[in-house]
Amino acid sequence: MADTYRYLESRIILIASLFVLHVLLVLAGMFLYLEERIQTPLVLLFSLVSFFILLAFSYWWIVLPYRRTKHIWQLFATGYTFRSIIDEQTPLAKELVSVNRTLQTVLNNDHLMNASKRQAQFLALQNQINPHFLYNTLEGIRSEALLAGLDSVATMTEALSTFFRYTISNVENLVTLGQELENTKNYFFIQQFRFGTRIKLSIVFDEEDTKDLLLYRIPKLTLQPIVENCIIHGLECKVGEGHLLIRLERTQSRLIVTVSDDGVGMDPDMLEKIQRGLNIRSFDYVKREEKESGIALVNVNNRIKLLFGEQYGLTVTSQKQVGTDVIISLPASKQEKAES
Amino acid sequence: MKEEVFRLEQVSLPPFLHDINIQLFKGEVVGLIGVNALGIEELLTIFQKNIPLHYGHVYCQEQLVNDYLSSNRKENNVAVIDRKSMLIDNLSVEENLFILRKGSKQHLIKYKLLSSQMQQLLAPFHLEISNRTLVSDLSSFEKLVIQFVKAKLSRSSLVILKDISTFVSEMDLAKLQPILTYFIHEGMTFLYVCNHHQEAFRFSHRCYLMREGKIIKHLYPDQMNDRVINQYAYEFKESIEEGKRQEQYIQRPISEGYFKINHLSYRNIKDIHLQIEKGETVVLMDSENLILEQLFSLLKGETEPESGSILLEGKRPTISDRSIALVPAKPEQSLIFPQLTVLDNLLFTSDHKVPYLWLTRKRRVALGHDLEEPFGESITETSAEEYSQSYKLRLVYQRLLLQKPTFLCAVQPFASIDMYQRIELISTYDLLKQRGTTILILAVSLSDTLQIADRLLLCKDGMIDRQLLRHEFSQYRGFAGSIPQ
Repeated sequence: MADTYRYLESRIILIASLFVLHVLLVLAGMFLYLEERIQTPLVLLFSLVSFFILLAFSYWWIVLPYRRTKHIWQLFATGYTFRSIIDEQTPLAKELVSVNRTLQTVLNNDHLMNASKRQAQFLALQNQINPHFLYNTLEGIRSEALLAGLDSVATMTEALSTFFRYTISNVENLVTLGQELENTKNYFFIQQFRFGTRIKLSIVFDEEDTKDLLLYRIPKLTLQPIVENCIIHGLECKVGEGHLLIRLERTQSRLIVTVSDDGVGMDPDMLEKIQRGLNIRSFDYVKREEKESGIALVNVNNRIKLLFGEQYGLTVTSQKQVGTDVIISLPASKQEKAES
Repeated sequence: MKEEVFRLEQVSLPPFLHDINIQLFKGEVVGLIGVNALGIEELLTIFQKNIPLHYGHVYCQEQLVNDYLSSNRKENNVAVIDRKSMLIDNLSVEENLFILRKGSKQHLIKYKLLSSQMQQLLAPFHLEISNRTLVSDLSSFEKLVIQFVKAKLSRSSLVILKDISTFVSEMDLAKLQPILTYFIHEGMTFLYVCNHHQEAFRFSHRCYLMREGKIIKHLYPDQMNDRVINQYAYEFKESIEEGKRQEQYIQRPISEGYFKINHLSYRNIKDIHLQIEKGETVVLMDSENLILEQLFSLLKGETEPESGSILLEGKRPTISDRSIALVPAKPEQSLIFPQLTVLDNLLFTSDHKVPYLWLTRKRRVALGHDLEEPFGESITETSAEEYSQSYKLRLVYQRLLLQKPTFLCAVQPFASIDMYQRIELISTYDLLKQRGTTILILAVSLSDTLQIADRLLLCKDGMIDRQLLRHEFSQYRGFAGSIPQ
C-alpha cells in the first residue's frame, strides 16, 4: 500500500478521487439541506473544512514532492547531479523508476566503457613497453652510470624507474596518502632535473596528524597529475623561482589536500571553463584532445566523484600573477595497515 | 585533528552564490572579505538558516543540516553580531544574558545570583559593569563583549562578526584581540566579515576572499599580505591610488576660513577649535568614539552647544539651508524616502535650483531624462525602496551632486561598502572637491577616508590632539585603510 503511493501518479489519482467524492458528498448534502431533510447547515461547514484539509494534504503530498522532483530533473539536465535522479524519493510513476535504473546502467556502462578504454590503453602501453624489460633496462643504465661515476644520471634513472613502476604496474584504485605523496615527490624530483632549483616543493600538515595522516586512502594518481598541471601551466612560464605547496588537513570525516602554486595563474575565462568542467558531471572530456589544459583536473575530479560520491571532488581558484589553488576534498577513510 | 564546525559544500544559489566551498573549524577566526558585496548577505543567511538551495550541502558539526533536496528552514545556532545589536536596550545586562535566551526555564528570577554570575563571566575582560545596568547605558565596546558572552552562553556553534569596525572605535578594536583569543580558547568559532583586508588580517587565522558570489581565494597566513591582495584589488590601486586624481591635492585651497568651529564645548566635546578652508577636505578622526554623534547632532542644529559656535561663511548654519549637506552613517537607509519614486528622491533637495519644482510633475520628468542613463528608464514610476543598497547609495550621492552644496559633512562614508562602491564614492568626493565643496568627514575608523582628505585631525579625550597634513598621513598607524602614496 505504502509502496503504491510512493509515486506521484498514484497520489494524484487518489487525491483526485477524494476530491470527486468530496464534491459528490457536498452536492448530496446541499440537496438534502435544500429538501429540508437536514435541518442544520453544519454539513456545509464540515465540507468546507474537509476541502481545506484535502487542499493542504495535496500540497504536502503532491506539490512539494513534485517541486523537489522537478528541481532534481533540472539539476540533472544542467549536469549538476547524476546520483540524485537514481535515488529519487518520489518518482513520477512506477515506469520512471525502471527508466532511472536503465539510466544508471547506461551511466555505469559509460563509466565502465571509459575505464576499460583507459585500461586497454594501459595494457597496450604495457605490451609495447614490457614493464620488466623497462625496469631492467633502467636498472642497467643506473648501474652503468654508477660505474662511470655519474651519480646524477644514476639518481635520475632510479627516480624514473620508481615513477614508472608506480604508474604502470599497480592497478588497484586506492593507495595510501603516503604512497601517493612519495610518487609525487619522485615526479617532482625528476622535474627538478629540468628546472633545477627554480622550483621548490613543500608539504605541510599539523604536527599532531603526523602519526596517521599518511595512512588515509586516496585514489591512485590523484596528486601527481595536479602537481604536473601546476608545473606545466603555472610555474614553467614564471620568471624566477616558483613554489609548490601541498597542504594536508583532516577533520572527523574529511581529508582536504590543497595543492597551491605561486605561478602565473589563469585568466578568468580559462578559470571559468575549468570550474564549469568540474561542476558539471560529464564524460565529454575523454573525447577532447589530451593536451588541452584542465583535462587532468576534470579526470581526477570525476574519478573521485565516481568512487566516493558527488559531494567530494576538486575546487579550483586562480588569479593572474598570484597563482592557482586546487583543493581536493576526500572522505577520511583510513587503512589501518598500509599496502605494500 | 581539526574539529569541523561548519562546512558548505558546492553551495549554489544563483544569481547570488556559485559553487561555494567553506570550512570552519573549532577555535578559529576566519575572515570573509567581500571584494564586492554580491552574495555576502545570502551566504550569511545560509549559515543562519536552512533556506532552499539550488545545489550543495551544508553541514553543521558534521551533521547534514541543509541540502538541495530538502531544506527544513530551521535556524542554526549561529549568533550574528553587527551594527544592530542583538541585545534589548531597555533591559539590564543580566536579563539580556540569562533570561532572554533559549532554554531559560527560570520562573523566579534571583537578580542577586544573576548579577554575581554576570560579574564572574565578565571578570576575564576587566569590564566594570555595575549590577542591573541597562544595555542602553553601555558603550559600543561593552555591548560587543556582552554579545560575545551571550553567544557563549547560548552555545552558538558559530559567531558572525559583521562590519564591527563601523560601530566600534579603533581604540576599542585594538582591545578586541585578547578577548577573541579568550573565546577561541573556550572553543568558539568566529567568522569575521568585513570589506577591508587589513582589518580581517589583523584578527583572522585565515581568510576567504569573495567576489561576484564566488570564493576567489582561500588565504592562508603566509598569503595574508598586501602583495597578494593587491592582485585582487587592482582596480582600486589603478583608479584610486595611482590615478591622476592624486594631483588635485597639490593645489592650494581657494580661500581661507570658510567653515569654523570656535572653542566648541558640549558634553564630551571639550573646546574644539578648527577651521576648514573652501574646497578643503578634512577628516576628524575620533578613535574613542566619544564625540562624533554629539558633533553631528550640533551640526544638524538638534542641540545647542554649552559654549562656542559653529560658523559657515561667518553665519550660523541651519539645516534648511540647501548650501549645507549632512550625510549620516549608512545614508542609503536614512536618506531614502521609500514612498517616493527614484526621480523624486533624486530631486528632493534641488528645489532651490529649479523654481516650482514640486508643483509640476512635467518639470521633474523633464529633468529626469538626463538621469535615466545611470538610474534606469523607470525612475519616474518605481519606488526607490525596490532597489539594492548600492543603487540607493548612488542615488543619495547623485542627489548631493544635484543639490550642489558648498559644505558637506559625512559620518563614516566608507563604512560597510565594497571595493567597487568605494571607488565610485571616492570619484563622487573628487567631483565635489573639484566644485569647491568644503568637506568634513567624521570617522571612528579610517577605511579609505584618507584617500579624499587634505588634512587629518586626531581627537583624544574629546579634544583635537594632533593634525597631520596629506604628506604626513603615513605617520598615522591606523587600524585598517588605504593611505595615499
